[in-house]
Order: sequence, then C-alpha cells, then structure tokens
Amino acid sequence: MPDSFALLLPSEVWLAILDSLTYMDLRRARRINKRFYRLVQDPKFDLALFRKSLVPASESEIEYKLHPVLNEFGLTDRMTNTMAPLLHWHREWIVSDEWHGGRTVPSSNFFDFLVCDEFVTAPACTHFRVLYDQHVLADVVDGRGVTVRQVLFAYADFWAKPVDPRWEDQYRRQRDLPDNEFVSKSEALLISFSGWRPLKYSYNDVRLEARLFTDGLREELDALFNRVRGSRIPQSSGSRSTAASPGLDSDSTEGDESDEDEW
Amino acid sequence: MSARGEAEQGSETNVTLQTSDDEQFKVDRDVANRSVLIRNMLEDVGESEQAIPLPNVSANVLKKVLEWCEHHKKDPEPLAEDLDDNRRKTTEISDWDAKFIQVDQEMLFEIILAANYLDIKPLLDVGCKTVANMIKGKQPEEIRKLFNIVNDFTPEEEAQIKKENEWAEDR
Repeated sequence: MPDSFALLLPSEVWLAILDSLTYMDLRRARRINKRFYRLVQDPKFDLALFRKSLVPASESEIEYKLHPVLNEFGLTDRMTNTMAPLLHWHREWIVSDEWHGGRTVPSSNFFDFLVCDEFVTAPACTHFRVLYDQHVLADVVDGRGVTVRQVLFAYADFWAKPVDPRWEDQYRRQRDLPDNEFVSKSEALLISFSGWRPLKYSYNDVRLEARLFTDGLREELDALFNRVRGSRIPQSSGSRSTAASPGLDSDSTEGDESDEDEW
Repeated sequence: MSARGEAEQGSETNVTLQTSDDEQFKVDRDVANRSVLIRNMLEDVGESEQAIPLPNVSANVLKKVLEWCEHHKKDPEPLAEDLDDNRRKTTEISDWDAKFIQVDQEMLFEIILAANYLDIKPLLDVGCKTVANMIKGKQPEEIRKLFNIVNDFTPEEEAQIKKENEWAEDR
C-alpha cells in the first residue's frame, strides 16, 4: 500500500470522524502526525478536551462532565501511590513509609503535565468541591474556571494535614485495637470509600462526592480487613499500611465504577 | 433510455448518472435523490434526457454507493438538527450498514469521499463512525500502521508532545 487512503479525506471529514472520540482517544490522535495535531487543536474539541474556558451562559442546559484524571485520585489504597508524588511535588513532602511503601520518587513532576492546565469539568465551573463523608477534600473557587492543578493542590494540602484523632479512635474502637496501635490517615478515613458518585451541580457550582459502602457491605469488609490486618500484626510497623488494603480493594469494588480496572 | 417513456410523473422516473470513468448508471429517481447534490441538480435542470456527470466518482465506487441508496431509498429525511447533534452521540451502526461497510480500506475511504461529494449525510455518517471505531483505544503508532500514515514529527517535537501527553496516553 504505497499511500495513505485515510489522508485523502478532507479535513472537514476528519473533524467529523474525530468528533465522536473521547478525551483519551483525542489526546492520542494528536500524536499521529502534524496534520492530526492541528486537527485536534480545533476549537470544536475544546469541550471534549476540557479546554473550554467559557463559563456557559444558559443555566438550564448545562451538563458538567468530570475530567477523567480525577478518577485516578480515588480514596483507595492505591491512592497512596498517586498521592505521594502530589505531596512530594506540591508540598515537598518527605515521603514516609506510610505514603511511600518503598517506591522511589517519580522523576517527572505530575504538575508539569498538560492535563493539569485543563479544567476539572467540561464546561469549566467556577466552584468545585470534593467531599468524602464529613470531610472536604477540596474546595476551590476560581472565576476563570477551576483547573485540575488547583484541585490536585487542594488534595495534597488535605493529605498533608494530620488526621483528626477522633477518626483514629473510631477506627481502633471498630476493630478492638489497642490505644497505642498506629492508624494511618488512609485507614482512619478511607475504609468506606467505594467510588465517586455522579457529579452534582447547580449553575457553576459542582460537587464530587464519595460513595460510601452500605452497612452490610461494610461489615463484610471489616471482617476481611481484620483478617488481613490480623495476619500481619507481627510485622514491623513500617510496611503496614501498604499491605493492609489490596485485599479490600480488589474484593470490594466488584460491580462498582470501573475506575480501578484501568490500573 | 427507452424505459423513461410514460413514467414522467415524479419518483417513478429514471435518472442516468455518468461516472468519472464514463460508465452510465440508470437508477430510480428515489434512489438518486438520496444524494442532495443530485437532487439539487435535478431540481435545477428539470426533466432531462441527459446523463448527470459525476466527475469525482468512479464506477466501482458509485455502484457501491447506489447499493446503499437503493437499500435506504424509503428512509425518512433526517431533520437538520438530528444530523448535527443526535447522530454523533451514538456510535451505533445498523446491521445492514455494518455489513455494507465491510470493505477494504481503499473502498471505505472512497465511499466516504463520494458520500461527502454527493452530499449523502447518513452514508457519510456510517463511514465516519466506522473510521472512528477503528481508531478508538489505539496508540498513535498503531493508528499510523493501520492507515499507513508517516510520522512527520521531528524527534524533538515528538518528545515534547509525548511529555505534554504524559498521564493521558496509556490509559
């Protein structure tokens, strides 16, 4: 095949083809060659690529979409792998065992990626909150539209703060652990996370809320959790938190949102 | 031409189309009307014995396009808004269309070009969706290979774009 039949199509037809692609596909398509790079620059794709800075004028017809990168920052054990770099690059956090689990600090700064300049919703909103149970993980206001970077900064700030001792106590009580037993922040806060709910929003005000396990499921999980935790009590405290939750995660999210299958 | 005889009233009429390689196709006006280009030409010219020249379409492609038009000649006219908004929301293609469009790549792109030129939006749409489905989930290198596209970025440019794309590209 000497020539590319695909390149015979005029740009207006290619624009129509690319129009049905998702964020990820468009991001990949721009790497094919220079022509595709230019095609994907077309304002037509601003919404799909979370580049649309225009805050919509008509209130009634808005439908906000969440940037897919936000699904990477759930509240599961794997979060420690994604949150550690954020803490490192935003807060110069000295990544402790709790966060780090022995991994090395990544060489590239996540905040340099293009994705951080994109808006956290499409179309952009001026107020974005992330809520987990009674905790506010992020609450960002920006009249020009809230970006992914701003929300991830807020995440890093949240995780850099020490956990409220009440949550540590509650965790120990639930599991009959001794008072001096170390409880990590993720253990204290995250045992009930089962994915994100669909976005809630009113005009320009968007909320992303965590979905919590139902009680029945939580009991089941606690049993599982105790089994896993019990089996490693003799271990040294350093590797504890990273070993705690893989079982929890893979068993608990069956049938749930698929953000974790992509890992 | 003899069949034209008494069937002068409306859609019973035949229309003759002439391809770039000088082949003539005689088709029902209903079938030809699927093409907005041809329909407009017929409205402009009125009844005419003359073949309509289609200098951008070859016989093997027109044959295929007419096969689609024949099958879809009874379809209701799509509304203007539907064309723009609703059709792009679904990537579903009917079974018949899916089978119809199972052709080699050269023919696929020739059909799309012809549908674009002849202004047959629903057929253009089938072609566009088919190509979009071929691209979905593929890495840039796989797409280049699939469509025989040369990577014309310099190594520096490519490194830059790859860096910009980090995080997004492997998921």
